[in-house]
Amino acid sequence: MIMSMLEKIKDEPLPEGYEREGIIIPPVFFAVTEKRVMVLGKEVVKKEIEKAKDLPEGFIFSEQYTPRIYIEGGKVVAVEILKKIG
Amino acid sequence: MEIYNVTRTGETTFITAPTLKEALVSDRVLIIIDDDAKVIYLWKGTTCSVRKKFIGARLSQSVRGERGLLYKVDPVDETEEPEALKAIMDETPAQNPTAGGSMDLAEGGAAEEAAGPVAVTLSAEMKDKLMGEALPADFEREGIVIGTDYYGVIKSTSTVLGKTVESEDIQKTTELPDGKLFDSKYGIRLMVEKGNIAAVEILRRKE
Repeated sequence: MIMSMLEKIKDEPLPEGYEREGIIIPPVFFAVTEKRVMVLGKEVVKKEIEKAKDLPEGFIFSEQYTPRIYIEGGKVVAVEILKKIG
Repeated sequence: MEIYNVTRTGETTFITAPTLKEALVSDRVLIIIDDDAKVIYLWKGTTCSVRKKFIGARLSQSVRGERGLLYKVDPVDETEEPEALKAIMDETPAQNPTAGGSMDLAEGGAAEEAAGPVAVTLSAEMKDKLMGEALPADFEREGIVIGTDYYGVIKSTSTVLGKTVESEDIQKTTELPDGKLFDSKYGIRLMVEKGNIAAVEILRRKE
């Protein structure tokens, strides 16, 4: 269920000027991670969404972020964390 | 492959689904028996109760005792499924329990336990924690997401003998519109507890 929700969100177009940094499927935080590998001297970057580990306890805030909330049947099924580019 | 749903009462119920992945609902603890690989998966959804986890751990060992010691019990948390379990996600589980394999497993239907998130109420403790943390400058709190519930901040103003009194309350909002909500005027603050998101505060930039 969580995986299908993540797949659905990954396919959603992003608002202009924003990039996806994480997705919360309550209560789990999934971070967008960049994996870089060199192939014959050329860097290949692959983005993956993984369950975030070692989140710092307490409150986390930064002005650069804006939420996008997904609601189904009156429930918040996911919160996307979007970062303003530039 | 057979799937048993662990109930709060300490029993298991045989369930069916078109595919294994459709049976994986986050508030469930499931015992998935893969006879081919001789593995008994104890699958724990992200929002399942601690009680179900304990019951599931006990029952999975009982199932092993019944199926044979060649079987291995593999506890699995949702989102951390091993490759071997991912490989059978699209397979159709057995439509009936194995004869003689029911033990104390009561037979039932998939609708035995309603799927869906566990209801979460905003406790006084949570309210104290959130209200006790000063808001970032230029932001005001408009809502709080806890679990899958949205709590709106209700502001009321009244006049008492000519003096204006303002109060703020937080109430669960049930009439949310389905779909995506996005507005660049909003910010977000996360409250993390034990590695999970305990609360998401929806903050509005002051104009």
